[in-house]
Amino acid sequence: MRVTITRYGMSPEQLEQEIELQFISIKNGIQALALETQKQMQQNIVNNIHRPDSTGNLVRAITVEYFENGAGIGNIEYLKQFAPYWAALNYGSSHLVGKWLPSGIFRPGTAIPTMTAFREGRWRVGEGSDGSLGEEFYTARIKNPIIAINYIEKTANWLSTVFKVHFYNRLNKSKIY
Amino acid sequence: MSYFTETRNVELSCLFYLETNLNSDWSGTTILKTFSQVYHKDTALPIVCVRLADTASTRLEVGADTLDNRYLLIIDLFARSESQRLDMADYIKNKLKSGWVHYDHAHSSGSSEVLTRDANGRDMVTEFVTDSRIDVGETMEAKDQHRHNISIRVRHTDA
Repeated sequence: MRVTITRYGMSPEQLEQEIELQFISIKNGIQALALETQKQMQQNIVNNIHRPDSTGNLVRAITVEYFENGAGIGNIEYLKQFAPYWAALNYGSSHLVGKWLPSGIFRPGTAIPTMTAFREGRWRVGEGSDGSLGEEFYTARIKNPIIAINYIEKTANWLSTVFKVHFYNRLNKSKIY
Repeated sequence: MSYFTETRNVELSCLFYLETNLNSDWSGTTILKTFSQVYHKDTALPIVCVRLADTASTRLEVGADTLDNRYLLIIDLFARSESQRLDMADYIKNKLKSGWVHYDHAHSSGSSEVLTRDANGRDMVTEFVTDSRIDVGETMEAKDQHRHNISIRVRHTDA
């Protein structure tokens, strides 16, 4: 009896080339997704800014770093240096409750916050103390805790959905579980 | 009657489920929905704060307008000690992993205090997003000293 084996499809070399191409394509996709994730995290922070004239320090401190086979959003050491309150804003904290604000005034808005000027001003430390603005300066005891805005978890929620739509479906899975 | 939306029902169903379990297995635990309640001076530790923070939506299938929603539920634990934090986190994860009954909530007009609930399917955890100790990196007061954060993605199913 004679058996003939005929090869169909790609040769091992072609298969290796195809895998390499797919890998490069996925790598490019991950890099693009990393940039989008950075934007999304920054947007989640911006959405929670209630007062005018934000310094933007936290938004700028959300960086993207590429590794050989992936990417990371936000470097904790960098955040600790340039936006040390990153964790207090994300998780909420009461560490300032009961403490006194350093002397200053709300500006723009009214010097002393009133209900009609709700969230109009930002606390300016030391302003008004030289008398040039013709106003007194004030201090106040902080009563409310920092409410968690969970910008990290919200970004992870967004990323999981986007990842499934764009990558999982590309792998020919017809349903998302 | 005033009926609640699915998003609100997902949050309240999880809250009710954890409240029922913690009340029977972990007496003395306070279960809350907002941070301002957590930090109120009269609220004693341990505290579990459950809230729905975000919803990510996609189309369920081509040609239909049904949305496939993934709800982000965040569970913050404020424990008395590190060992209690770890035990409580494990306990809650074990309770959440199998899902819970989804209830449609409603209240009578003019009576927002009393809620009625009717079972309507289940809420399933599709992913555990975070499960970690929280260090806010500042001088911490008592309630922030032993904190833990669990965040989960949840899907509601009618079946």
